[in-house]
Order: sequence, then structure tokens, then C-alpha cells
Amino acid sequence: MTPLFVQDAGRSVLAIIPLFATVVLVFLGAVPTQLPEFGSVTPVLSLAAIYFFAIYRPTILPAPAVFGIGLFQDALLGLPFGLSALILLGVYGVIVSQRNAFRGRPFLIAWAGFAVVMPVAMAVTWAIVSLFAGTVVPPLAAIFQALITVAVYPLVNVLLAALARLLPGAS
Amino acid sequence: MRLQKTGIVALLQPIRALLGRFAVISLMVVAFALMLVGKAEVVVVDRTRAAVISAAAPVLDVLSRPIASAVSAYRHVTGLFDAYEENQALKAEIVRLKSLEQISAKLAAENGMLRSLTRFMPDAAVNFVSARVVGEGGGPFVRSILINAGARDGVGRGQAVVNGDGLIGRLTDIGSGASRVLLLTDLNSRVPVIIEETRERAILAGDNTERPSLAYLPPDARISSGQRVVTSGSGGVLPAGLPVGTVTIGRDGVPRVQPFVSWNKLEFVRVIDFGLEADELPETVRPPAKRAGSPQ
Repeated sequence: MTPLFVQDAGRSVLAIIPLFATVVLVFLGAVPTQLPEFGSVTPVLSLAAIYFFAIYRPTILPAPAVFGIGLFQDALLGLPFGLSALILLGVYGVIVSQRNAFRGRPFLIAWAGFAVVMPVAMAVTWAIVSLFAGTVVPPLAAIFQALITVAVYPLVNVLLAALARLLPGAS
Repeated sequence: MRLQKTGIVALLQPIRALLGRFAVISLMVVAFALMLVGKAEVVVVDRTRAAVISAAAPVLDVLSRPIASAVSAYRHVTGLFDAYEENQALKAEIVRLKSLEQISAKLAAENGMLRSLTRFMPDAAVNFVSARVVGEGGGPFVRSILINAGARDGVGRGQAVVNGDGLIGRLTDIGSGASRVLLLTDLNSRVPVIIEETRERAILAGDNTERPSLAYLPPDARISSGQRVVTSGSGGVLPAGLPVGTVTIGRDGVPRVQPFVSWNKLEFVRVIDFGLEADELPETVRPPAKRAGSPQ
């Protein structure tokens, strides 16, 4: 039998996996693609990851971690400092309180939920950015970004689900 | 004992849930407060952003390299297919450029002669720092890129960033080894420009679309599609005469500028150090009180 403290150490290493995975996804959102086909519209992978963990493993990605990820994303992408933190926490808070509606249900339900959450989060972001800029920001790119993120959600879900199986307390 | 423990846990459950909810809401309030504070360009927020950029740049640099190689391999293969047409086009271009070379040599000689006649004061010496684009930013809301040159390479806030095509933007956040370039197209970008042909001044104002608009044009401006737009050098931070783009007048009649730079092909850029900081003004217009405390 493995000594307890080794198990504990293993657990705490494993516990940072969700945080690490989400940070990697934030990084991926900032890597230059240089291809006109992709342009400046890349999916908001961090939001997809927060949504996933809020449903399936909220205890392992607590609110302060979500806050930190949001601030990191703001600094990296040059967004108003605090904007992503606010949006990610909003999504996290709502989904954690409603997670029983998704847990143990087919994947399609979670995807449908994301297809509702993503446009709402994007609309709120758009409204805040417009308010801060004092002008109406062209919404077309934001709409595309929401659509693309909804489209790639299954991929994020598959990757994170594989990762979540490694974590302690997997059901 | 066991039963008692579960009883306590069950009792604590709603309190824990409340605390969890409270954490989310209070952190959201903090995030919103940070946004308000950050809007006022507080030093702490600026420093944090700069530190994050510096720390993240090496990781992004590593991540961006395989993508850059894949893209260049793709371009190499597709380039082979139209090599013949490209060769013909280049030959035609050479013929055209040779005649231009003659003209420009003549003009340069004439210009030099006239300058010496009029004792023209040349612009301050300009230094370049070359850098690689390591990150793209912001998605639909911010137009910016990250480059791997920072304070330790001698670049500073407000300096112009160009590539072979023309002006890309200006530096905003300066980390030690990386910095952020606010692109011309960003909502917050304002660049003093001049219409090359008519010498009319305007402010190039980004609005997150591909084509920034020309603000503060004189009402009687003689403006038409296709005119070249260059930096005016007003304010002294940017050198005058950097190519920016061409005027296009849309259906709504608003004069806009199609930048020379193609945003999807930014790989290497140059930062122009014009020897002035963003918040400094040229000697002649600087109020004397401010002069005393400044390091220069």
C-alpha cells in the first residue's frame, strides 16, 4: 500500500491538472496562426474549459482559480483587465448552481447548454466592451467567435473528459 | 460518532454552498472593480500586465514556432505551383522599377542640393529593433499582437511598429522581454496622419474593423479613393512619412483607410525608436515646468 503522504502528494499534483489544462487552452488562444482562413477569430477555449469543469469537477477548480485564469487571459490577450475574470466567474457561478441539470445526462444536453451559455457570455462581453469604449463595437466578429467556440466544444469536452478520468474522485 | 459527524457535515453543507456562492460573487465584484481601476491606467495594473506578457512570451514563442514552420512549409508548396506566373510578374516589376530608380536617383540628388540650399533640419536619428510576433490578442474585441522585444531591448511605450509594407501599430504594454503592439485597427488606436497628395491632416481612428476611419479631416478636404496616407509626425512620437495605407470611400461616404499591412502575415516586425517617449512633447511646445523633473 502506498504511504498516505505519497497519496496526498499525488493528489495535490493531480489537483492542479484542471488549472494547468485551462491555462494551456488560454495560451493556445494567443498563438499566432498566420493563416487568413483563421483570421483573428479564434475560439474562446478557456470558457469551454470552465464550463466543463463547472459541471463535472467544480471542487477541483474553485472560484479563485477561475478568477486567476481570467486575469491571466486578460493580461495575455490585452483585454480590459478583469473582463475575462468577470465573464468566466459568471459562467462558472451559474453552471455550478445548475450542474445537476447536466450531470449524468447525455453529452448533447451539455452541448446544448453551452450553445446557450456561450452567446449570452459573448453578448455580455460585447456590451461591457462597448460601454467601456463609449461606442458600439462591431458585433460580427463576436458572433463568429461564439459560433466557432460552440462548434469546437465537443473536442474540448473529449480532451478534458479524458483528463478528468485521471483525477482523484473520478466517478 | 460517525452519525454525529455526518450530521455536522450535513449542517455545514448549506453554509459551504453559501460561502462558495459568496466567493464567486465577491470575486466578480473584484473583477469589475479591477476593470474600472484598469481603465484609469493605474501603474499596478500596467505592471501586472507587463509581467504576465514577459513571463508568457517564451512559452508562446515555443508554441508559435511549429505553427510558423507548418505555415511556411504550406506556403513553400503552394508557391511552387505559381512560380512561373510569379516570375513573369517579377520580371515586369523589375522593368518598371528600373525606370523608377533613375527618377529617384535624380530626385535624391536634387533634394540633397535643395536641402543644403535651405539649411533644412533633418529628423532625429532613428534606431530600429527587430522582433518576432509571438502572440495574437483579443479576438473580436482587441486588435493587438505580442512581440518578443521589451524594455531590455530598449523599446518604449508609444513607439511605432512597422514591417516592410508599412505601419502596423504602436507599443502599449512594455514587459522586460516582450511587449504588446496595439494595431492600427484597434478601437483605442489613434495615429496622426496626413494625406500625402493634398497634405491634409487627420487622425486615423481604429474601430475594430479592417479599415480604420479618418477623423478630424478639414470639412473642405479634397479626398478621394486611392490617395496614399502616411504618418504626419504630429506630436513627435512617430516619425513622419511612414506608409500607412490608401484612402477608400465606402458606400456610406465615410473616408476610411485600407492599411498596406496584411494582418494575417505578420511574422517579423521592426520597432522604430524615434528618441522620444510617448508622454513627452517636442522641445518647442513643452511647458517649462514639466521640463525640470524629466530625466532628459
